[in-house]
Amino acid sequence: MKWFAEFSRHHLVTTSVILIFEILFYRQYAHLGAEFHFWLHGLFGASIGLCALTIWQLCTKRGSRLSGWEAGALGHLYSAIPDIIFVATGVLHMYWMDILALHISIHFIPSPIATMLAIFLLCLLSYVLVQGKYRWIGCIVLGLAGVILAVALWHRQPIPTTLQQVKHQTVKYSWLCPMWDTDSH
Amino acid sequence: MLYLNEPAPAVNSLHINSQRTVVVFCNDCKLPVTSSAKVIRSTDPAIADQYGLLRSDGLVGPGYAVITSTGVVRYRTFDPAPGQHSGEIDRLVRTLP
Repeated sequence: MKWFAEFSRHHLVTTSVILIFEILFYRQYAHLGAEFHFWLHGLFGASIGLCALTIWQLCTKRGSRLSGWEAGALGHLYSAIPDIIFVATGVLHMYWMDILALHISIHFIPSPIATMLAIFLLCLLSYVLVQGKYRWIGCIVLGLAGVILAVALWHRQPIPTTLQQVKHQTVKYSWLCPMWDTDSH
Repeated sequence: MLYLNEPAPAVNSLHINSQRTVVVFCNDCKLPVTSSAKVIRSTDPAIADQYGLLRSDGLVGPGYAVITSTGVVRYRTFDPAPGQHSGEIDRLVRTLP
């Protein structure tokens, strides 16, 4: 129970807030028929958060006030900004939104969810290893996550601009997840 | 995302004129309601095929395509119930010229 004793009130509060935030977020996506987007951007956003935290710890060689949970949730929030903007204001997705955690491009990588899950697990492992003072192994694992992302992006399908391209697009899943009726909110 | 950008196929057959149009491909689904565009239904398999909305089993849609007033198709998707997604469709067409 030592870990529990070390779990400060601050972390207890933020963990609760994050859990509630993620559950509400998931319900919103599910209501729009867009669970696929929740997992895709959630996993990649959490990976970015954990990656940033790990790099911070590697560079500064000291702990951060942020926990892995908090960094992951902030990353998720960052990667979901285009979806939040769409639901809140009706602004459609545009190519420039790739600056927000590759929000468009990651739909077109091979096996998007499986790839993002692999990247997330590697980032999580890297974070845990660096926390446990296995810094070099943590660096290697983080680098491996980066390589997987680079390879996945290299092999991503081009975004179709014609109906002919859509018909021959083999990545169908990204288009089978419309955002349902948004004016009911 | 409005990812398509090409002249809409079969504009004459669909009687599309110079106004924003939503072409709904289905046999008996409910049509969406929007004040921002003309909504028409097509059950023609050949036209549905041109829009990539003919299923492998030969059924038309259900789905819809969004066309600008200049006759450019900007979006198309399969949708099991277009009539229930008027809000989403209205948001799409409101951004069109």
